[in-house]
Amino acid sequence: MAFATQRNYSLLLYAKTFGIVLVGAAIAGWGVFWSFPAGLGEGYHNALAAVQAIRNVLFWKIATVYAVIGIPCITAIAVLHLFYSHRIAGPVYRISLEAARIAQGDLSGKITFRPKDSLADMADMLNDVASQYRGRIGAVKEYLAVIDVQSKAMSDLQQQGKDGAALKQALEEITNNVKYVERSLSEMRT
Amino acid sequence: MRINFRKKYFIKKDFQSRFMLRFVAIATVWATATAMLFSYLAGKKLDDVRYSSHIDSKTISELLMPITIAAQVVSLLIFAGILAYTITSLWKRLSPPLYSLKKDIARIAGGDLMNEVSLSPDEEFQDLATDLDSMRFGLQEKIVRLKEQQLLLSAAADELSRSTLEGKPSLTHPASLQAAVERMKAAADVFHY
Repeated sequence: MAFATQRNYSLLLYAKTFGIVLVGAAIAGWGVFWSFPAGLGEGYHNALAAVQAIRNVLFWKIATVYAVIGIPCITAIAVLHLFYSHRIAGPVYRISLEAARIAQGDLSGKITFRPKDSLADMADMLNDVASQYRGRIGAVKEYLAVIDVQSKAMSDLQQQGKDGAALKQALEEITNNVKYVERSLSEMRT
Repeated sequence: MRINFRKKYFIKKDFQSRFMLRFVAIATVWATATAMLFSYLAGKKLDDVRYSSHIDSKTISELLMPITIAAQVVSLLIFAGILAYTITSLWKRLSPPLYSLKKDIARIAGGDLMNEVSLSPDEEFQDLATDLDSMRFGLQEKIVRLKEQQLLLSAAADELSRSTLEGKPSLTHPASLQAAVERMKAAADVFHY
């Protein structure tokens, strides 16, 4: 039941999102150590004082480092997902435009997508809709052109005062083509 | 080769906002949870050191590195699981309406213009379903008009046939057939390609 997307779309989305968070985690971890003095000092009392000083500011330092690193990471994730969501939203928008064109009677069916776009199968199906109706309407138009010529020919035959076989043959051809028109239209159930 | 860049990336604001928001939310929760977990574990470690009789570590790295790694690994593993679940559930939400719309398009291509294109109210891509139904309705309207003209054409052809077979051909019958053909051509000309 999946829809056509770029190959490995969800895997790439997963890997890139996780990559951003992994880099963020690494930088944040390093940032926490960077924000504290490297050494604890010589002797028990100095080390205890250093530990006490770190303990006093620990929460706020960690919160600040994670906020400073987290905001660009979250922004990067938002931008990444804007691009990835656009690979679905863009084709949906184009398909809507093409549907509106078909609704107006434009059966040219020339919708094409970029290789990375999703829903290429749906675009092909919409082109197929245009193609199918182009075929049916095209057939109707051809039969109508033939009927037009035949009815004019029949009118000429009548003006020339001809009757009998020639008229009957012309009439039969007209009748057959009218039936073809009917048959072509009956393929479209309204 | 000329690369054709799109000018506008935020094209379906509602859908794209919801798409982005899921991931922004889990990344925000991850950052907050990691900071809190790290802060809790590091604070606990520092409290243990403060109340111990001797301090073995010489540097802050020696003291807090194992805690840092543990907090990051645990939070990253949980994040990886939640991310996988989010992407899978997103796909499960997007696939059924698109599959249903594809079936509707195939049905329209097959000539069925009677049944509406619609989705359940809670499904994604309602706009697309509406546009596809407008397409179906637009085609249906035009084909109905064409069929109405075809009935008049058939009637004109029958009249011509009847009068000819009865041996009473009249010039008005081919003329009315030609008029019916012209009207039907006009109805067919609303389609262009």
